[in-house]
Amino acid sequence: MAKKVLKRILVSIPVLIGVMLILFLMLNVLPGDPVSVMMKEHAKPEVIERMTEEMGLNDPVMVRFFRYLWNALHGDFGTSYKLNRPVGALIANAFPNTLKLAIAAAIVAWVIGIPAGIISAIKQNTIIDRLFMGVSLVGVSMPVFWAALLFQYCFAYKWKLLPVSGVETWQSFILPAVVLGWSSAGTISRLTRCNLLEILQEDFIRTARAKGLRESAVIVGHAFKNALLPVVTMMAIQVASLLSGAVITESIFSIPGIGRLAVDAISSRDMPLLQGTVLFTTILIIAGNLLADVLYSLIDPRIRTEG
Amino acid sequence: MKKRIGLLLALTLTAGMLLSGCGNSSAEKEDGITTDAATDTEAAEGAGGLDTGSFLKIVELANPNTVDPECTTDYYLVSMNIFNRLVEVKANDDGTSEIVPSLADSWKISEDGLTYTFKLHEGVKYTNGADLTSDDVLYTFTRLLTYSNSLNGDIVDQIKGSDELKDGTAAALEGFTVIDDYNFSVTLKEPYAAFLACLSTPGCSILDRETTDEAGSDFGIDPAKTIGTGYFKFESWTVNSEMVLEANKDCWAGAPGCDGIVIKIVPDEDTQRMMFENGEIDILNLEYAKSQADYFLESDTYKDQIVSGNRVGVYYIAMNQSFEPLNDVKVRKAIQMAIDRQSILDALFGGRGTLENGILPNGLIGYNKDLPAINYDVEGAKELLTEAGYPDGFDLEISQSSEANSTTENVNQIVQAMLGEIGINVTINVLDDATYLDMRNAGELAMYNSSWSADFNDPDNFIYTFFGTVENTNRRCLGYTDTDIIDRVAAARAIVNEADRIAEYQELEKIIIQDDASWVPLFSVKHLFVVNPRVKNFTVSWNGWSDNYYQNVTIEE
Repeated sequence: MAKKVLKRILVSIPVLIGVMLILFLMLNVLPGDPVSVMMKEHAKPEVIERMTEEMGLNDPVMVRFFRYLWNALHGDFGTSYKLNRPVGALIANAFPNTLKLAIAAAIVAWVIGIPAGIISAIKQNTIIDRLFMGVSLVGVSMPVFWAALLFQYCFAYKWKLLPVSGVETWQSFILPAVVLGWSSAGTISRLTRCNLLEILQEDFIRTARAKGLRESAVIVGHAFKNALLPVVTMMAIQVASLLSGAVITESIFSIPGIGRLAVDAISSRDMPLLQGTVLFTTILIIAGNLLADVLYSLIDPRIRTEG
Repeated sequence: MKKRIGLLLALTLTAGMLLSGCGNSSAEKEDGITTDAATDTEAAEGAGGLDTGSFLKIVELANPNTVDPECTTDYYLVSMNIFNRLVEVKANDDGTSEIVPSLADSWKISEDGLTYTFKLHEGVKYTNGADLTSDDVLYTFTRLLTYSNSLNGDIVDQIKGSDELKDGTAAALEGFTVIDDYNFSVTLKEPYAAFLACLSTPGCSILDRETTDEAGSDFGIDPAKTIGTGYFKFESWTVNSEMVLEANKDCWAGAPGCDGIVIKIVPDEDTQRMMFENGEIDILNLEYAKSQADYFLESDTYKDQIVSGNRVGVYYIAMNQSFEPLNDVKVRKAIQMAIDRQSILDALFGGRGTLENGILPNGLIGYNKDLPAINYDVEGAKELLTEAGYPDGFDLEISQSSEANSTTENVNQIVQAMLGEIGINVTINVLDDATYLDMRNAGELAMYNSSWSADFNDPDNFIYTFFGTVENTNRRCLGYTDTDIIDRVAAARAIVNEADRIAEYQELEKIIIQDDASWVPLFSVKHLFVVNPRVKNFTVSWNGWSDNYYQNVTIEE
């Protein structure tokens, strides 16, 4: 098992380098000079020239790429052009907010999604099933920005139950977590329901029932465990993507997280910051997938022995 | 391994069990939480455990790059409030403004207009307890000219020896003489009437030599290392979240009216409005929340809470004379006449503003209200086009950045339709922001619209910026060709007699805009803020910026 994990980690190194190289080349192809974006129309040509030289932007792209890799290996991810701070520190400061939001959203998603999926499967084609699936369909289909504004309008503005935005108190995280979690819950409940229904047709379930087990024991002990596999994958991927920052939600609720850093970086051609956030996100996605694999083998012994 | 699987399953199951029984309990749970939320937010605490409940709460759309006043050209909110200048601008009720003493108690100007002798206010202390001396002023001017990230060197580049200091041939600023700790004199290269006005700009905030030098590149970034003499102290800065300024109760000029300022960073306009209506912010800048302006202006609850100020600035459309057929004055005049400026002002700003006919806008020293109006005359415009040899019009490109605000976008669309009336086929060319700026700085755009607002109250800030040198007109994509006029604009800076100088500027303005039709002046507008009734004494800064001085604001609970 440990060997397998190690192997996966080693394989992900070229992936990371590849992602960074592609990003580097793409940024290089893009028109527009970061220095003039930084200074808008006020910049004098001589100031632009001096800054470009100082930031090392006159060097060839490959030189800059390897310099970046080398520095990154030493823990130096550069200084943000726009925010004038070390990229590492910016990400480290933003990540706790994104992490809190992601955990809260994941809890909302699982707490709503998994039971809803189970109940819908058990009560297939009843009113409850239709209701749950209808609500989850809304969750999946509703654009996040719209849901965010709607929730903000009702809970914060109309009924004044929660703060409109910010991160000062834990209550501030409730609305964004529900907005984000709801749409993930939709996916999870549909996936849980679908898998569970399939499993419930299997022979071993009939055997379990024939043994005289209570229905709850059949569902929880036999069916659910087997239906969980694809759900776990989905959950791990969702968490990884939540951790890379929910751009729209973070903007609407003014949460200083990774997503906002990345968007600001793109619009201001802030290359060091953009590279930093992309690198960080890539690592998270790789880790998320790895975690899913590990969980898989924990849940399903067959996968473990194959490894 | 087996144990872990068991644990995992047990956890999932418990969660599952708990949840199966909770059809409606999630809603209840939320209700329970929310009551706490309401009480908790009232006693909200800022980043450092500082109680910010009684602070003034305002909003910004994004993080500034830095609050170092020398290294920015578009963000001065923090520096205006944590530093002081030698002189400040005071806005009068009649819309005019004057220069008043601040860190400098008094000054004398020599007869030839070359030497300014200042006397500093004694006993001014920085928030770290250090004394303000003449040496700090010398340091500030030197840093403006030599610091590698400085963008505001032109504020003091009229001082004798500034060029030598900049290019390294001199070690000190020749024109600056420290007489003693509280007296110093400044000698200019040639008379420059706008010099005092320049010193009033936030970019010329006076910095402490010792702490600023020590802070290095952390100055303006790290609040603890950003020390000033102002009404407020820079307390904290959480990127993408908020900046906190705390009242400097020991300020030499007296304590400010409120306990502090929380500047929240909120990019979304709807969120801003809800926060304002919920009392989470006290002042809403309607320039940051344009889409919400009509709502507030038409609302019975809010229409009396609106505070406005003239934005001393001009919206304009630049026409680049290096592009054919814009090099023909008749064509440019036809374009001026074909644009119905009043209807643009009505459509985009609800008519809240003044049509401009020159370069120097309403509220600026030298504003000429008697300039002949540029009339909207479609038939006349068509005739001019025919005379110029374009009876069927021509193709023209107007460029904008992909990140242009809604005003720029809308002006372009309206202009496109209006010029279509006289047969000019306008294409709106949307460029990526970086490309747009590159091309604009290189003088490669045929036409664009933008606005320019006053940094300091002097015609020089407008006319020199656009028409003062060949390089300036090219960088603004005007391609103005009359070098005699350009030379006169530059020479006007040195006219010592104020009345003569203003008269010269007004004549030049008339030639450039009315005779040569170099740009289409559009209008100046009012800058509106919605203010919570608990906030008293809020006034918009003299030039109508989004950045304001807050020392007089008080908060009544």
